[in-house]
Amino acid sequence: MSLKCEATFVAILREKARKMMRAMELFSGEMDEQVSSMAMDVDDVDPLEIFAEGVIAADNKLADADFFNSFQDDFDDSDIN
Amino acid sequence: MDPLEALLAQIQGLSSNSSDLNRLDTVLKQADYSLRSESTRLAAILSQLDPSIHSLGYLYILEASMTGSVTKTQAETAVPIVTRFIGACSTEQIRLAPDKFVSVCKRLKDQVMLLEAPIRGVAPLFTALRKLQVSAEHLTPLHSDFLLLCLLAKCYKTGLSILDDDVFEVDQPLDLFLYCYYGGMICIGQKRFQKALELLHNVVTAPMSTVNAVAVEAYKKYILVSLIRSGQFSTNLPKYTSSVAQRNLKNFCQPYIELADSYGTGKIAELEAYVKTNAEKFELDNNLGLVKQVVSSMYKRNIQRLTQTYLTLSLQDIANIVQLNSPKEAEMHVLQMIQDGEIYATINQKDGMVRFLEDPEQYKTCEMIEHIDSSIQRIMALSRKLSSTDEQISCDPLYLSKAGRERQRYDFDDFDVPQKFNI
Repeated sequence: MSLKCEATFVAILREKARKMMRAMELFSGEMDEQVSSMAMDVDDVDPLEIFAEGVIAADNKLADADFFNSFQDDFDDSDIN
Repeated sequence: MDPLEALLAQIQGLSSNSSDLNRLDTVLKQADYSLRSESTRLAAILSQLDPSIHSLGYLYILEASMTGSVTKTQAETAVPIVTRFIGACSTEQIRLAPDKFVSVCKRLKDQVMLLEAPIRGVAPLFTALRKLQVSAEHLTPLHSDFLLLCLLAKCYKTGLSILDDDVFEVDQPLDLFLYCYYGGMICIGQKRFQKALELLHNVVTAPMSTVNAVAVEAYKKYILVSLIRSGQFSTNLPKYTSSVAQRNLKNFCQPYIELADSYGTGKIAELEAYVKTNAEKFELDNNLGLVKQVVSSMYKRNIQRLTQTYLTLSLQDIANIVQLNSPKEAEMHVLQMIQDGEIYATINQKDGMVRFLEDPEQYKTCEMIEHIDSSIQRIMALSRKLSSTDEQISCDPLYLSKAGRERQRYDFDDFDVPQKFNI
């Protein structure tokens, strides 16, 4: 097996082991609600914070602000009857 | 030989089988830039091609002929040509140049909007998205444009037809935002409020690194539809919502949150006063109609509450308790609610008495069993899909390299890999 393949394999094993430990924590009875047998790993860390490439822009700037939203207000039921 | 004539010959000669088409695709990519400089001659070239046989070549030339802004007169000429192409083109051929196909369809959308005839784009875009999709789970950039035209043309039922597909593949995040937002509006128009809530919820909770304008507008409608559907709203967003949305969405939707607070008091006069004071803000957002539905829903909510206390009640008493203007108005509300399945009751018009009944559903008919069974099957299929997606992501090198940097809690010495071997 090449060194890169070995590193990938080890990283996969490490991730799976981390998930198993996390699943064992969930099943130890600390949580009150019933968990699924296929427990999803729900973390406190915002996934976007892991994948963010740079500094997050100022909170008051809206992305895609130019999207089309000029529809006639068609939801007034008092027009009917 | 003139380059354009040579290209025409190649299109006509290389459109019959897949290996020829791959060669043709390469030729067309190389000629793409020069095509745009020949825009005045392209219409004549198109007339010598069959859109169903020479779809790939036709697509490249059509796309090159549609660059730049157009007048209404030009749009009037172009729209039928594009519509005919979309209907006739070969799915296998246009999938060789999906970006070009999307570009042509988006231009069609722009042109039918310029002509103020969005309905002319509805059927062609529906055909186009079905041809572009590799599977029913694939969300294309054309889905949102199709829904946009359905909204403008008020073809809500037509728009509904694509909203029942389960989406698992998305090309661009904005495609999903717009699909869910416009889709939510389609469902509101059809009074399918539960489905609308699901779609709007998807926008609000979708991953985002900056606050998205689509998510802000979706959140406003989400608040209103929550009140209409279930009579309540909570500002707590699920844990998987991005921190950016959790921190900021409320700030952009303050009048709506205050409306929800007022709704929560159960006092119709207070709610109506709040709506009157802030009508301009809601109107600016084109949400005043939906806000009025929120007010109506409070009357319904109050009538529903009566069914939990009384077996019979007069229309006059209902009007008094719920603060309606007259027994006639109370009768109209009760009749509508019976029709919509929101309450079970009969009205005796002789003495103006309403008798509230139990839900007749026994959950033991064949139809109900079939419904429950199909729901179970669907959930099982979704569960399998989720497990498979989780497995795929767990093995994704990009995910592992990012997650590995952040995961400090479980450090197994036995699995420590020297730094130089880290991905």
